[in-house]
Amino acid sequence: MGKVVWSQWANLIAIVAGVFEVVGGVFGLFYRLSMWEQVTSIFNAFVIPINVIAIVCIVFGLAILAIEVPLPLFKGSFFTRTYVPRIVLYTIFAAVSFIDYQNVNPGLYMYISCLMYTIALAKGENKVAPKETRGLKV
Amino acid sequence: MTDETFFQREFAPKRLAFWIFWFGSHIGLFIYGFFKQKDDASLATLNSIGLSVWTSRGAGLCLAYDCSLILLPVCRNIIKYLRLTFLNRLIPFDENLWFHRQVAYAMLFFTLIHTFAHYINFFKVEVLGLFPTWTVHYKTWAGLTGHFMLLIMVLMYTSAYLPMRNQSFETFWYTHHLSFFFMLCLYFHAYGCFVRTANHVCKPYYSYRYALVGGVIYFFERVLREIRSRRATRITKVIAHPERAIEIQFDKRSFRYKPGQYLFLNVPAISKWQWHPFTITSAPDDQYVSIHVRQVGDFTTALGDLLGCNNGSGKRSKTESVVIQNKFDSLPTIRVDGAFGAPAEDVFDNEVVILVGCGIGVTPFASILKNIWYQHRNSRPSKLRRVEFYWICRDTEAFEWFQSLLKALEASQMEPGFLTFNIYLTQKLRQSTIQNIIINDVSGTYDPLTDLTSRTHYGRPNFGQVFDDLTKSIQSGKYLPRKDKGPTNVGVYYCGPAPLARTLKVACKKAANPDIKFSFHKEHF
Repeated sequence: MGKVVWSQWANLIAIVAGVFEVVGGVFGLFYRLSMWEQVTSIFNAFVIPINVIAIVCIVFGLAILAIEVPLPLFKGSFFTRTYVPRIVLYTIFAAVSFIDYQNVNPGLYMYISCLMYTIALAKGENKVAPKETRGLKV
Repeated sequence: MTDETFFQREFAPKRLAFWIFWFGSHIGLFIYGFFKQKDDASLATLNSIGLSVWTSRGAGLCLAYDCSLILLPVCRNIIKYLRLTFLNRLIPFDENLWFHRQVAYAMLFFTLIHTFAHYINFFKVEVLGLFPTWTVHYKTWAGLTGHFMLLIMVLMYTSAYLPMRNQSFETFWYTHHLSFFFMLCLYFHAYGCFVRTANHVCKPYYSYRYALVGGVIYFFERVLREIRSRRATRITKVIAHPERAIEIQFDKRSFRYKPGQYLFLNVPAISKWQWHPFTITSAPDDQYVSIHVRQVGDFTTALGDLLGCNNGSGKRSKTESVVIQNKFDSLPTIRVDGAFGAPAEDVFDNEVVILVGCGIGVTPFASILKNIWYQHRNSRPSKLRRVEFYWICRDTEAFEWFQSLLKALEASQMEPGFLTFNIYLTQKLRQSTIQNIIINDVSGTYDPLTDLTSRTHYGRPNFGQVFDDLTKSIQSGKYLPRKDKGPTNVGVYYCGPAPLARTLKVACKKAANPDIKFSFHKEHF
């Protein structure tokens, strides 16, 4: 019955984005298509015959999950201590994801997650990592 | 404490029957939708895409089924009426939110299948030279509404995740109202018709029609809720109890309820949209309806402030109950929706009942105990022969909430031993308090803490032992003299935190024997 912890919600949405980023990437290896092929052909070289973007997206997705779940390796590290690195990273990840046909929606979710992390920053939630605030009353 | 295992829980006859129905209906629908598309010769162009089209159509049909079901378990007013019919024996209506979650899980699963299949479909549509992929995704009704629904689902599912819900119920509650837009998208999802034959004849599954039925029923539910809550309601009295508990008594002519039920309260002055559940603590024979509210969260504290129950500091130091207001004007308007069923209303169908309340969890039993008192006074018969009341409380001040009620009940003892109070105090006491109790306990006929003739126990009750003793005394015939032949029904009713509920459930199972049936019921919160 407390206030919403924005970073907690952002964390969950980022996990969703991460999962779909990986799944979309795997699909992208088999069904290769650039989202922008009607507009410009400059991305086609990255997508066909081998979908480099999709492989990059899988790596991105795994990175998101490593930061958000988080992996013990990342716990308390530079990436998880504050929200700024994630906001910057996800913005770049999302921009790249938009090139790949299957990864448009995860990219959108990443932007939503970024937006929520920004709100969390603005509200001063940065003191506690999201994992530790779960279930606690703030 | 031996907890029941996963296998025991999921393969209990009733649950197993549900799972068979649930998985069976989904698999059946999937296969039907799959082959209806595959074997339709007139859809040859579409079928040339292959497996992914059939899969998406099968999953789509399952989704139509789930989307038409998902709103039904949250129609609390309609469920309330259905609970009174014979259906109550077939369908456990109190598990409505559990069913709501199962539908949601099924929906998520088939959404993923449906969406991934469509991602392949639209890709192949372009390969076949029919349409460019991106136009199918973002320029057709089906594509756009689908992506919008996915986004809404991401927001709704993440905010409904249990830690999120515990952290901020309001966020969950407001986000869940995105379902309105979700349903709107769903009804237009098949608009523009993608499944066409070569002669441009549309061949949809008309799934929106089924989904619309659920939507219309829910719409009526909301209208009914609005009408019922807008009937004249007036606060008549506010009493501030110790431990930051408030008793609100109000008058609503149209309000009908049974002991042990609960209602939803809305105070427009605090929030126009928030509805909070509270147990009714008065009995139907009372002139008023009352609820006890403990100030623990945002809403309840705001309510306390609004009703003037809190001093400037926000905390009351007084230990006695005070009537704050009983003027008719100057009090805020409230809206009440209810009353809704809870298992505790079946109490009167047992011969022996054991009522167990923890802290504020005593509220449904207050209503039941009051009703017992009225029944006795108006000499109305009921099956009930013995009532064992257990109240487990952390500290002494909490006793004050219902002390006057308990005292009145005890004084009016009907047959000797009809009603037994067992009050347990779990807090660690100060040395001086213990001394005080010892001195007063020996001399007085009343308990020094509760002022009742029944003595307060210290520590937690051992329910295994309690049930054993009960079984023995029933079998020896001392407990229920002049008892008819046949098995005795012992109803155990519990309201409080979950760990003790599990303990009680296990104890009930252990104590059961052919002559004495122990049935366990728990209030849902």
